Amino acid sequence: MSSVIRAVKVFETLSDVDCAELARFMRIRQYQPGTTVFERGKPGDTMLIVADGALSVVMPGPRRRNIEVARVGVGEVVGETSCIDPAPRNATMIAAVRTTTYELGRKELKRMHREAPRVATTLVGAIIRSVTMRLRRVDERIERELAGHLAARLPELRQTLRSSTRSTSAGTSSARTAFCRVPPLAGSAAGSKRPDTWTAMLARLRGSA
Amino acid sequence: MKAAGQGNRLPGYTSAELAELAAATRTRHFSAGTWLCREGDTAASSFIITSGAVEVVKYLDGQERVLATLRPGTLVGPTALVEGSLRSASVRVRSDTVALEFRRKAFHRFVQDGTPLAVRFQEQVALAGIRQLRAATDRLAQVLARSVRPSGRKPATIDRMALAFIQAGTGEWGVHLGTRQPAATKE
Repeated sequence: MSSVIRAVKVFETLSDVDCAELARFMRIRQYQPGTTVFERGKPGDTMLIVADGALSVVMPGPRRRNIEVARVGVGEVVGETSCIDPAPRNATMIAAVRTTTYELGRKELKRMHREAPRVATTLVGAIIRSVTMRLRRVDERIERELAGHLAARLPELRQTLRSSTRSTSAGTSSARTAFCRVPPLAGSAAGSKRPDTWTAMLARLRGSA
Repeated sequence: MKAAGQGNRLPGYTSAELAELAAATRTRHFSAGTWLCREGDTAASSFIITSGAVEVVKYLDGQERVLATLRPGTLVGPTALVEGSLRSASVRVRSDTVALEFRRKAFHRFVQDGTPLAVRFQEQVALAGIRQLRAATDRLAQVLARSVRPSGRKPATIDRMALAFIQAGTGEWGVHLGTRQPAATKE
């Protein structure tokens, strides 16, 4: 069991001893194919590692059929934030095949804090690190997506600029300068040095998103 | 400090617990108008405001914007306790302030001790990060849902917003996205 935990990326900073300790507090569960493991919108406080088999992330499709939109495989973890902060599940998951999971609920985490505080804080520390990295990725993705929206609106903005240059000569040069200061859209917008106009446009779009 | 300088409230700490916290941190005094930290600096510590007030400042469109005012009981820049990322905004002292500076290494030692206070404090940091991540995932789902154009039958037959949420959460769960044409499975 601890070797499966050892292979989970989120827990790569845990030592072998930590993994063995963590295993003591986890429950082993088995699901038959088609069994619902999580239901979207239902409260959840359990973290779950897939030890064998696979989980399907599904959405209701036409004619009462489920559509699989993602899959969770062996060594992957779901809901690790729920054992710290219980929340409604984001998606419905069903066992794609006969699946074995290791689970840790909020209650077990609290017991771990009492009985094995060092391992519990190491585990929570690993989750915090993972959350921080994911937060950065999500933030960067938002910025990229918003930059994409802006790129899609470029013809419209160009048109606006053309009509403004036709209708008035005053302020034309500043409008042109502002437009020209928008950098090329190739690559990620995140991390690049952007002129203030670009930042402001992104901020406005972000506000309206 | 990401996401508009939201800090974490640290309610219900007794004076004994605050004394324990003080032992793990460095008490610092800041005069009004000085800076706690500046945007773009490498973050090596967080600050717990014990008196006074600070404001989170960012320059947008060449103009200074005050994003938030943080008061006693707030942990400023919790991300610094986890990694040495760059400060995403500046923090200016609004009125004379006393703050406990928590350096990353000291925080790790404090947490490793596993005292009940350390556990609670770590949980507060975790909760703040998790809620921030959920809010960001929500925001990304909104952005993705807006960019999905109804083309063909499939996007119209499923909840577009929910699908966008799943796409947004892909990184969060560490799951593999399925094939481009999702396979229908029997219920």
